[in-house]
Amino acid sequence: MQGSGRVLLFLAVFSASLVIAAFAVAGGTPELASKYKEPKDLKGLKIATFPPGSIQYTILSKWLKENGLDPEKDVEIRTMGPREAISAIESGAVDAVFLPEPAPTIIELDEKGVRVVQSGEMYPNHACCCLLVSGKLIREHPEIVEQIVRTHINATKYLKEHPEEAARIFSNKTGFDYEKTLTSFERWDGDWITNPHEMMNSTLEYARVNYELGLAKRLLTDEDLFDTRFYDKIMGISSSPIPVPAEREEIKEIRIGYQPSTHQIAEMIAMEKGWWQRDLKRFGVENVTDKEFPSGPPEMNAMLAGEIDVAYVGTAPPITAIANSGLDAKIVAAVQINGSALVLRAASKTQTPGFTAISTISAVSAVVVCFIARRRFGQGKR
Amino acid sequence: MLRGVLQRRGVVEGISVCVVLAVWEAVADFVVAEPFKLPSPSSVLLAFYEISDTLLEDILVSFMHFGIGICMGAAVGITIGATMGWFRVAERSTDPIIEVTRAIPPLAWIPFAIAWLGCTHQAAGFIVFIGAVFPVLLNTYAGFRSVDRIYIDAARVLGCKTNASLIKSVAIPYSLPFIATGIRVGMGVGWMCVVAAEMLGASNSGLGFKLWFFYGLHMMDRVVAYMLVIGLLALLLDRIFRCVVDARLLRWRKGLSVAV
Repeated sequence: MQGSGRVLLFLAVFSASLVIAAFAVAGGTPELASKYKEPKDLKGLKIATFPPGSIQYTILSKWLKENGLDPEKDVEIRTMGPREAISAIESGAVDAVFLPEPAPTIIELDEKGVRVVQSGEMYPNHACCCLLVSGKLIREHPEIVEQIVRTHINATKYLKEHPEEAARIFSNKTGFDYEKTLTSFERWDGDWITNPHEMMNSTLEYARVNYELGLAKRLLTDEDLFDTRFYDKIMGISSSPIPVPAEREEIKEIRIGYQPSTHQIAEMIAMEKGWWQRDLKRFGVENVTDKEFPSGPPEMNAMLAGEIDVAYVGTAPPITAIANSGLDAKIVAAVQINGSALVLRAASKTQTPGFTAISTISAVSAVVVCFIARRRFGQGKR
Repeated sequence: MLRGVLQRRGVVEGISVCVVLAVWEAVADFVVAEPFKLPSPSSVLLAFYEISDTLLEDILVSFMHFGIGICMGAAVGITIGATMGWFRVAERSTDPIIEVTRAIPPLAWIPFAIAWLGCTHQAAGFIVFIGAVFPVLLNTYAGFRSVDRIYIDAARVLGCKTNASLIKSVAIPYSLPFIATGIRVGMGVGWMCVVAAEMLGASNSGLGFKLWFFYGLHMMDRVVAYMLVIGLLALLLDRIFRCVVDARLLRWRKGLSVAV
């Protein structure tokens, strides 16, 4: 064989051996869900969840610690958004995910994972998502904030009465599959609520956990986090008037942040049906826009940067934003409780002993051929 | 007298840095006055103290990712670059693939790095490899292509009959400066890729991971501290590489070149 032909043979066999060896090494992913009996079985696993400061990171850390596991040493927590986390567990890059719906249901219906613990089992009736409004809007335009809370209450009521339409709106907005979204309503342990008083205790517990983990620089109180005057006035709990300043800037646009989770469908319903625009128009607001964020911490960064005025967000991210960077905002209503789940990986279809054996033999054979070809291509012309 | 003081080594550099720090402090405290948007140098200095207990571990993890990628990048880049540079048919067969592949930004490979290798150190190293391999490959190729025919002929006359001996005795020594340049450029690109790969989920430790971690917690003073560490380490790596390469591998070039 001429030198150039041998070179081609060498390159072709070298490339093929790399590819085959890579598959042999990758091999497929072992099944974990059926082996889970108790939290200690999670030791050594890679778990994908939202970034530190989020509800999911806080609850997972708290639950692991309560069950004798150190979240920093006994498991490897990988932080990412929901879409990346779904891809990560489905490709076998992580062993488990702890995510809000509809992600756990999607993974189950794709047969890539099995849920083993609901977040409501980790922390019963824990606060999850809330309606957070900037302090400037509260001080200067309390009437707008009151209307925002009213619209949110109406959207939440509509959502609970029309689940199919809610699932369709969510699917159109986020790109998640409609059927899987509808199924997630049956599988989750969450509930959509509006009363902020129902989430105060657990939110203050998050503040304590994040402070002890060193993620929040100071321990926040209910006054740092909540402003329930608007909800109380709407519900007739309190009749105290909310002062309106004599001088204030006009506001023409309201910008709302949200995340691609069924927890926050109320925002999407109000936007899709034009309720935000309709209800706020009489206050001089000409435009209402919304923007998606993968999780709470980047949404809080946007609020700190002045990019959004209102946020549908977990109750934990505002804790770190207020404690660490002085975010001027308050929780004015509840959105939802519970609703996340820990999903462990199911087996990969490529995980068969036969495939692994063939891949390994192929890789070794290719490398051997490589060496033989290399020794034989001697005198070739340049 | 002032001119004499200013001419001393380090004086102008020191004054420049002090002026920048003073302006930064004034702007952060009195103009911007929002720690999230612009932390002050004093808060960054305090942040260095707060991150000091885990900083060494993060540096070592980032170096590990960097080392995996650079070693693989150098091995694969030199091998393929030398093959392409020496054998015309290899160049013709691999050139279209190389040209398409190298135009893909390293960060675009992150989803596949995670899908193929999982959230592991190897995945982060793979991104560094993608960033580093092409500068090494192209510079090695350029070195091999530019070997003067006279040296090849002289080597043949002196007894080098096989390709292997010609490559070993002529092409590789001739191409070493090119390879060194390629590795140096690859190191710069690779270090930037380390930070990005760690930020985007390929690792749960390292400088890039911690930078994004504290951004998520809105602690921007620590973000700036990590940015400065990343920049200073890049400078250190470059200086060490240049010292090692110029002082040892390329010391035979002393006197042959104006620059060395």
